Amino acid sequence: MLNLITNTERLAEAVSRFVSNMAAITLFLLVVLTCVDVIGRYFFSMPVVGAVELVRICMAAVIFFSLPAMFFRDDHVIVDLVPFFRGGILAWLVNLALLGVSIYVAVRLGDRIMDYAVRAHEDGDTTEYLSIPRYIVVGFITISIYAAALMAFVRLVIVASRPGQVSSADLEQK
Amino acid sequence: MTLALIGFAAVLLLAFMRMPLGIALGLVGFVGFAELSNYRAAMSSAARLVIDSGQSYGLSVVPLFILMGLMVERGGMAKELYRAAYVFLGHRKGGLAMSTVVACGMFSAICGSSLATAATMSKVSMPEMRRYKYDDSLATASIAAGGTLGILIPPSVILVIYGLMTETSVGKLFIAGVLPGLLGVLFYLMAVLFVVTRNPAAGPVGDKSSWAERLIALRDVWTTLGLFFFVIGGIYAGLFTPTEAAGMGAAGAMLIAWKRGALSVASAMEVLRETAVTSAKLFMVLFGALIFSNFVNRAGLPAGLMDLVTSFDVSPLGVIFIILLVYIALGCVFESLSMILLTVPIFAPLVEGLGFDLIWFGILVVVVTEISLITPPIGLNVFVLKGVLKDVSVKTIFKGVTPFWVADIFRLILLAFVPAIALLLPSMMG
Repeated sequence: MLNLITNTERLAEAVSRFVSNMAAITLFLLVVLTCVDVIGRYFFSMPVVGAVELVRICMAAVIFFSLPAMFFRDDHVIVDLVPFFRGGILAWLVNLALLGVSIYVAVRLGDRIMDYAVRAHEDGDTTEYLSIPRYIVVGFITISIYAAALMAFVRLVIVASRPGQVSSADLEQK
Repeated sequence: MTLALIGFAAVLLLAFMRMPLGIALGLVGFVGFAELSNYRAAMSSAARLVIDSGQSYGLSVVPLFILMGLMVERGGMAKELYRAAYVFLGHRKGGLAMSTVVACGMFSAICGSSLATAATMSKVSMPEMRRYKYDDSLATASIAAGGTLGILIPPSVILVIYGLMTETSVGKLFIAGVLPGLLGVLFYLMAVLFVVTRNPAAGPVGDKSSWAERLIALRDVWTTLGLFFFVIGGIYAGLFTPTEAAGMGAAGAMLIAWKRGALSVASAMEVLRETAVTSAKLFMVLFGALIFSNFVNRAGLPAGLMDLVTSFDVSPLGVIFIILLVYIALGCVFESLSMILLTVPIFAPLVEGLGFDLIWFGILVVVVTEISLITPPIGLNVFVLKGVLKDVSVKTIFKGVTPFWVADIFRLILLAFVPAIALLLPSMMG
């Protein structure tokens, strides 16, 4: 059982590294895109066509590629004021419960966003200038949220296998 | 209004239980909204908010400015900035602490984070102040307080978040932060002067630099300061949108860091990854805050607050001061981002309803947030310094910070009574 958990953790870590790298590359592309657009506009009178749409897509990619990695590391903004919730069995139980709630919220939200992706596909909804189908971006957001829920589940299993310990990433906050 | 207050209490309870702030805000906002309408409407509204703000053009400025700040930090530009301030001020009483404040101001002009400014400057200026036997309380306080300027002097991530929550122009907010930021530098210099006048041994004089040394020091910082004028000047002149300025700024910072040999492909990837994760963390809280904001608006909290305020017959400026007191109290326990995300949806409609300018209010909010960074018991900048300088006690830093804290309160009052300090430059933008 412990072996299975360790292997799953390793796999999740590899996935987390991969998506983080994808987010990093997209961010670099976003920088290049804005520079090319500005330089093209002022020096060659040739701005990038549909730059705003591309910036929006890159933005979504940066944020939603990072989301699963963030959930796996349990790397959130938290208010760490009450020492009572930092360690011990009760803190561990609260941590498990909160992870459970986070997974539930992510799954329900993912379900609703998937509805929007399906509707965008059925309606043939596209972006204004570049005619990029909107369901691709909304679908990507859906997958990212489901992946985040899955990563949070892996984190829950890891935390559950270590009674009394709250997740390590949590303790590094603040 | 009662439901909104219950919601607010629920968020605090969940946050204190260490539930991720974004999830706590989103969950309470969703449940509250569902209570007021129905489950499906609440879920649809939350999903739409995530889809829309997750690909918002305006918000794309956030990762780009975070990237610019991290690149500047990586590029080691803080050392030259400190040197440039030192050659002009170092020979005065308390001159090294003054140099630290000025260098923090300059570093803030290219980095939008207070914590990063304090952490970076502590590594550069603290060894120098130790060499000249500066009192630990003055030395650390000048860094902790100077670091707070990071979120006011543009670019500022907090101002971007405020702008998007209140639908005010991010460009105008940036420009509005310039004069109050400079005023902050001036007030902090006066705080240093006050300390060394009372206790000259706290800040001995440093070596005097020749004009040749001063010119060399200025030559070393021109690229860094040029980057600031390029980015902020571009926004002011209307040449770039804030997103374009942030993109160009990030590229410029990357080039400077690379030219200095401080950036390899591996370290660039590391900075890019760190930026992406930091941005995602911020967005997670932002999604939650937007869902919560929808709920409190629907629950009629801003209108209820407005009725309450008018029933008390308090002058509009009196209301502003009450709000600022609430912020100072919250600042004792909350970190900057959480405080802004929790309160701006509640206070901004009220302030607007009273006829005040939201750009001016944004600057007040950021200044009061700066104060929270050096207010006990949480004062995050103080703890950042404590993390870097293990041998200095938190008590020593808080003791040293007191004159700077008082200077901040004076600045806040001045900004509240004289809105023109914040609004002069934006009004010239057209």
